[in-house]
Amino acid sequence: MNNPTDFNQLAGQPHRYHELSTPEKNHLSLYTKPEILDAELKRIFYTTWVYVGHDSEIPSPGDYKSTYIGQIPVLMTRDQQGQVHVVINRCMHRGLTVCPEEYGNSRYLVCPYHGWTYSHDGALVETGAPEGYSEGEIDKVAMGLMPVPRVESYRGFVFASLSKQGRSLDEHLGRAKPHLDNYVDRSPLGTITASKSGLYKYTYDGNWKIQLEGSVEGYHVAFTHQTFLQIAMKKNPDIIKHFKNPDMRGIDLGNGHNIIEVMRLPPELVRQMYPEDFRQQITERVGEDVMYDILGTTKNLVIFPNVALLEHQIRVIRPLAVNKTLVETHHTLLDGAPQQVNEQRIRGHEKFYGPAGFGGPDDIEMFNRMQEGYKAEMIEWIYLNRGLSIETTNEHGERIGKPDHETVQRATYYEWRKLMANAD
Amino acid sequence: MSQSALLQNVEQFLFNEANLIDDRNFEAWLDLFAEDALYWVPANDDKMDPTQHVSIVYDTKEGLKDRIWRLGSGAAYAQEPPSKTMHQLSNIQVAQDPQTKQITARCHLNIYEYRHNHHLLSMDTVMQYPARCEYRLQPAGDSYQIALRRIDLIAANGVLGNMGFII
Repeated sequence: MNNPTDFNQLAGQPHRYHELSTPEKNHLSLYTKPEILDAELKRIFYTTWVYVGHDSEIPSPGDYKSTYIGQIPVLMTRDQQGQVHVVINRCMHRGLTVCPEEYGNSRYLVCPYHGWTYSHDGALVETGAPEGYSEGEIDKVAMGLMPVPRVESYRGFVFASLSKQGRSLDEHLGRAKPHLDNYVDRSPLGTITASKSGLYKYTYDGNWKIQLEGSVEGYHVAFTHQTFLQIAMKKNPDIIKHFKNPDMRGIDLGNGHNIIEVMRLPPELVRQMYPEDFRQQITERVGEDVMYDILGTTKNLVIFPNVALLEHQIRVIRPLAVNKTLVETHHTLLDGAPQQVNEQRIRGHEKFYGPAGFGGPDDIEMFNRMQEGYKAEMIEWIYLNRGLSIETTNEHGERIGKPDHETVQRATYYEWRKLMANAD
Repeated sequence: MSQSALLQNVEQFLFNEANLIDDRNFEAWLDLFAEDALYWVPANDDKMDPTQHVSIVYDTKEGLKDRIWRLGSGAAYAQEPPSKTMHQLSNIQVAQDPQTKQITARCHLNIYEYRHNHHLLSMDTVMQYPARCEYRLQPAGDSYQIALRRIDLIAANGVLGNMGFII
């Protein structure tokens, strides 16, 4: 069917939900109807590759991180041999989450209710008071913490899929991979440390896709963040003028992934801003052109469906309800970088994105107000058509627009429609 | 000066500071800070090193000036309309270094914050931000200058919303 219609006509026909989105616009129900979130959880979050964490968050044997895939509690663990696992954080006996803390380290994972004891790969080591069960009554293999079927990582970014089948992580990341490389290659060692240098958490009263769209929102910067730009302009006029570089792009990378270039500094400014040793070490790993590109160009990258890499952070998006979302921003340090470089990353992150920052809280205000406006149900459409008519396609099949076009927001929904069209 | 007189002076100074914030008399508040002052609200953990870890606020006096300018700009949208706050102090203890004369004051702080939200009724509520504070005060004439204003929120590792007001 070519003409999308309203949700009321499609209610009860979940196999047609994808018809609620077109390249130009999305139907309001994508952001407001609990049935749509239920379908998204099943067809997107519980099917495709979802980011669960960075391996630097659990550096030592026995470490674990408690997180979620969609709304399902999971543990990312490191066993005594150093292997990373992702298991469902639910005791097989009576259903409790086994580990309540965000981060921890322990010899075993022990349920606090009856002492069921698991190893970091999920295997059931012993029930509490085992004499209460007869010999062989508990199948220790079947009663281990349920493993998430597929776990793979790329450059330390650990992804998991609740689906046994499907494309590999490599295929899923696809054309986003070089940009992930760029993010990590700003470290002289080619590795980053996530979260140890800070983790902000916030919620907003709005749909999860608002933050996904908002993580690559070039259009709002000059307006919503005018105060930040004015302050920055006063202090660093030579730098801030490069927010307006006409060569910058917004790119649809395929598979729902997308990226915008936010600011592009010329080599002479990169040389002014970063110490020579640091630049030299990066050049040795990736070459001079790439060094100037990755230090000079600020980029925001979305990896569909739940993670974005912004300059200093890994941003993780988790739907709590159709109109409630939790966002975690894990600060990242560049391993092997001089203290002055990492300290700039720390000050830069808190100044803009922190709870008392000059940018983040204003964005959250926008998100809350969007969802409130969506209560006007008779106005059915959210428009994402900016730049659509002048979009181009490059030799890789990537759709290219300007950073302040909605090419990147539209990118998400090509994948969304594809996954949502899959019948359960 | 006796310990009780010192305590009373510092108390009055801190109560006055709280009033300047709550009255939104930000220029006068800024004048209380020494030129090399630090206004610091740690994030996640009160043991963190601010050179290795992000904070919620880590302002020099210059940064504080920007913050105040922004609040008055009309375009800090998370503070339009602005929050009303009430900074309530208690459990004040003071100690003075006999050599440098610098005063360390520790106290408990509860910030009550309310931002009238005409549309977003779920947020139209009084928020509370309890914290422990540490001040370093330098005697200046018959008053003090703030060298350090450190606020450790008990929810520093929690889900924090819009804290665009003066904490």
